Amino acid sequence: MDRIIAIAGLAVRSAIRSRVVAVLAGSVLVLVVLLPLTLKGDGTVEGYIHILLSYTLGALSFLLSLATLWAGCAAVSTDVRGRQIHLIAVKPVRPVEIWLGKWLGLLALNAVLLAAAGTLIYGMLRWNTRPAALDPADRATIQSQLLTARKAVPAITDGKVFGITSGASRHWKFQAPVFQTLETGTPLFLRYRISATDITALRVKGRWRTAGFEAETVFMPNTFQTLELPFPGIGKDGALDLEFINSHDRPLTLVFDPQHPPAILYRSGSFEMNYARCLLIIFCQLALLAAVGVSAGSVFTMPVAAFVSVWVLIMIASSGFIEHMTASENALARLWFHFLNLVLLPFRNENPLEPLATGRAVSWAAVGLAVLLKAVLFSGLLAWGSVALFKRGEIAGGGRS
Amino acid sequence: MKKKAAIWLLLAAVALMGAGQVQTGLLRMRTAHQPAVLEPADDMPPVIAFTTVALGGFRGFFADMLWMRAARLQREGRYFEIVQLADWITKLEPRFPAVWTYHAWNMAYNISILFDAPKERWRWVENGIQLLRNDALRYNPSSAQLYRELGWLFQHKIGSDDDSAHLYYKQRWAEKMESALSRPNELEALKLDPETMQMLDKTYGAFDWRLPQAHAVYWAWHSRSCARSGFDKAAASRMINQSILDACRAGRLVRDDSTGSFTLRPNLNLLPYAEKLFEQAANEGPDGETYREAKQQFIRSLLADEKQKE
Repeated sequence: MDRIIAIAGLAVRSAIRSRVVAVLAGSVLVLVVLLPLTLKGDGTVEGYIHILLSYTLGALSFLLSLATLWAGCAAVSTDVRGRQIHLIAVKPVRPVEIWLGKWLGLLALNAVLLAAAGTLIYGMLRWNTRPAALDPADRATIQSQLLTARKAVPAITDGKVFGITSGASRHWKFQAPVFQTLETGTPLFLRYRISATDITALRVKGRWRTAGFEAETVFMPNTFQTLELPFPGIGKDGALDLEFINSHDRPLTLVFDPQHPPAILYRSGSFEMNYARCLLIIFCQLALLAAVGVSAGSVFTMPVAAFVSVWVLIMIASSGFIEHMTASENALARLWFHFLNLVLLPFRNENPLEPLATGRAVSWAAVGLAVLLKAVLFSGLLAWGSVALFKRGEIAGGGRS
Repeated sequence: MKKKAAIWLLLAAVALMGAGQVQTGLLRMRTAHQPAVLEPADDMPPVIAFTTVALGGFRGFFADMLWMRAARLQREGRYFEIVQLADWITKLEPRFPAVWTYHAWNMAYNISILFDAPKERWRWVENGIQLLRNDALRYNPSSAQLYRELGWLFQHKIGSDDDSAHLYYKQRWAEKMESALSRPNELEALKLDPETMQMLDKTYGAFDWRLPQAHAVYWAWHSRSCARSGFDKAAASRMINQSILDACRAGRLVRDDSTGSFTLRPNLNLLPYAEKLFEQAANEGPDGETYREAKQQFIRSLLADEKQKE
């Protein structure tokens, strides 16, 4: 373990010496300070907060990903090229320890930069939402709908698509033990998405009803909508009943997709913890990219490693398209995209920025899964494969291909 | 080896100088053929200079990515980012008037009507107007198309009654103008030149500048001044004439201070010019008598309106 820590320390020192850290810290600072100044929301405070969070964290994550891949590629390959690796290889250090040391060094750098930038972004967010800067009503909305962590309780469904014709209705049941423990007056939110059979209908009408509450809503079909429910009556069994009535002016069927059943959102924790969980997931993604970089650098020379890493990054960015192409009509193309889809599986995850920016909880389970899969399993597999190839390679020449 | 490198360097320098010479000629030709396009050095903020020069061929790639994202978000009903994406796309393609008009139209028409509350709708109409007035015209100060599109937002989106929230738009615009007419810096922020406004009053008759028809005429007049094709000229002239007729019918705002409400009444200051328009059409067109009858009908309905509202 001491040897790994010593190599990690060397990797950090080398990054500091080569001014990678200084350039990266400068870039992150410029990004975090300047980007929010250029952002334009849709004119609402919610819109601005939404894009402030998603754009600054998204850009930060992209910048760190690029830098991590680059630094990972350089970590071993430049040592081989400059022959410094001989000083380590002749000592009783196993290749896997070299790999782990370099990887942990990169993770330490990423952790510091991510924590610093994350704190700065949080500070800017709090500054923008300070009481003096906002209308009390806007602030209350932001606190209850954006700067919070809400969990979703989906409606109980039979998993079938169904439509509600004009004037007809449908009952929804939401059951969760947590409903019984909620204090009176705690706001609940209903999140739903409904399609209309008439695709030309831009807005449709529907009524939601429960004990002591009724609201007529006008909404755009096929988009997510949120409706605030004053604390509704919860049954003794901890269930909440909601009725939806199709009250559109003209005959039209409203369709509920079982993939996206209505859900009740309730506050399950603080925004700060949600934010921290989101940063942890980003960190796990960076850990995996660091593993890709170090592995590529262990097997190839710097230019080839950089090329491979950039290819991986482009593939990750195109993963949505690749998944879509797995349904291609051409059998050969289908096979190829299935293969690519499989290769990209470790990198695919639910983007944590979307729930964070819409006030939905990023669960500890998601964090645990990211740690287990990205930081441990897939990084471990990459380490195992690249160390095996590294052992077989000839490093005395200083230039591999 | 060094000698070879020196020869290559010399060749590169000569090629660079040659390119510089050609560039000057090309810029001159572009200015001659497309005066709507600014010179790169003219009033270009750093962000535009960066996106148009530094990104080079990748500019189109980034613009495509942003277009796709904007389309997807709009399909999913997520509008938070639309203004931001429109801002970036237009900065990547600042000299392409069609890009500006698309985004302004999208916000003012397609997105605004998806909201129920007039306040929400007005925010999107304003976003569209601001995009054209504050940004698009800054980078394309001689684009007849952009002036015309801006005029159209006033003539149709705010001025007509097609949108169920049109009265709210008119009220908000009137409030804005009431404040701006007494504060020169606010007028400047709305890109309105008092001298041009006075000139238009003198040419066509005194407008009520709190109402959208006057602004449609203002921007259409700019469009006609920049027009280089027959279509642009004809379209701008039609907008001026139609807006004057509209203003004649309901181009005077009368506010009821006790209730805060307002009514729209005929603006008879513009009647002489409107009559001239009918006469002109009667003399130029093949069916002169029809236009003369239309003129009589127009005046009768105007006076009846005025009488009824009083």
